[in-house]
Amino acid sequence: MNLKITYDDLILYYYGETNAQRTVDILQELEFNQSLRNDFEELCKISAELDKGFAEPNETSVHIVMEESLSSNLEQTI
Amino acid sequence: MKATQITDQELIHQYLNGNEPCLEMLITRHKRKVFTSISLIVHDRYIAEDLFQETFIKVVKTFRSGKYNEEGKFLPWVMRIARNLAIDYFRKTKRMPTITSTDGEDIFRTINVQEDNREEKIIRNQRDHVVRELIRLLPLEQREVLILRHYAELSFKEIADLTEVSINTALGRMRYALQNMRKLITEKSLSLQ
Repeated sequence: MNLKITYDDLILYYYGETNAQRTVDILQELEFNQSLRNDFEELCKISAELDKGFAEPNETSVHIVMEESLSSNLEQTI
Repeated sequence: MKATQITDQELIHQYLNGNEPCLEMLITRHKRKVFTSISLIVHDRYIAEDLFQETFIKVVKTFRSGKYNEEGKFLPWVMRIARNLAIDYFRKTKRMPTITSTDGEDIFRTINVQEDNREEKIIRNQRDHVVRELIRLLPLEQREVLILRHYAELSFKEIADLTEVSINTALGRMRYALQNMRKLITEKSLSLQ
């Protein structure tokens, strides 16, 4: 196999944005192309590092929004 | 009834029909994506909390006013509100997010300052992981695409629409962002395990 798969294709594939045919192409190429596989593994590692950056809002923030919603609902009812 | 089986649109319909808990389900579903994105843009947890609240209060007000466009997707719309509020915040404070040089000095100075105070360091480590500091070192346009794709989970098409560039430009910025993140992580000797 020697399909033209770019790093941009790998990014699209990683984020689930390739169409069915392109997905098959990439999977086939990943099986035989060591260089491409290295690139993809590296992409996965960077992504795993990025995942450590996720943060959650304080529950109070959600409660404040819910209270706002309830009060606006009440105003509409009145 | 599993929350994951209900679409955003169905939750919105239920909410507008008086089912208040559906709003909480909607917020719970997206809060991590939205909050992480805001906090990475403004780089301040407390301001991020305020902007997060403002974003969803605006969402509620739009729902209540009947102006919500059901044809659009919910998350990209919320992210557009959040992004605009962040831009407004920077305008009001006349402060733009810092773009630090990639020579690595700033990140370690930041970390060393924290190490002066053990308690602060622990709090900081819980609050902001090093990767968040590294993201801050990226050029603004790369950082924005990285945040919107990886954390907000918008598609490249949605990012292109939001930032008013072509899909190829958004994709190119993401490529550079990932390559620069790889370099930064290597330079800072953080293990890529």
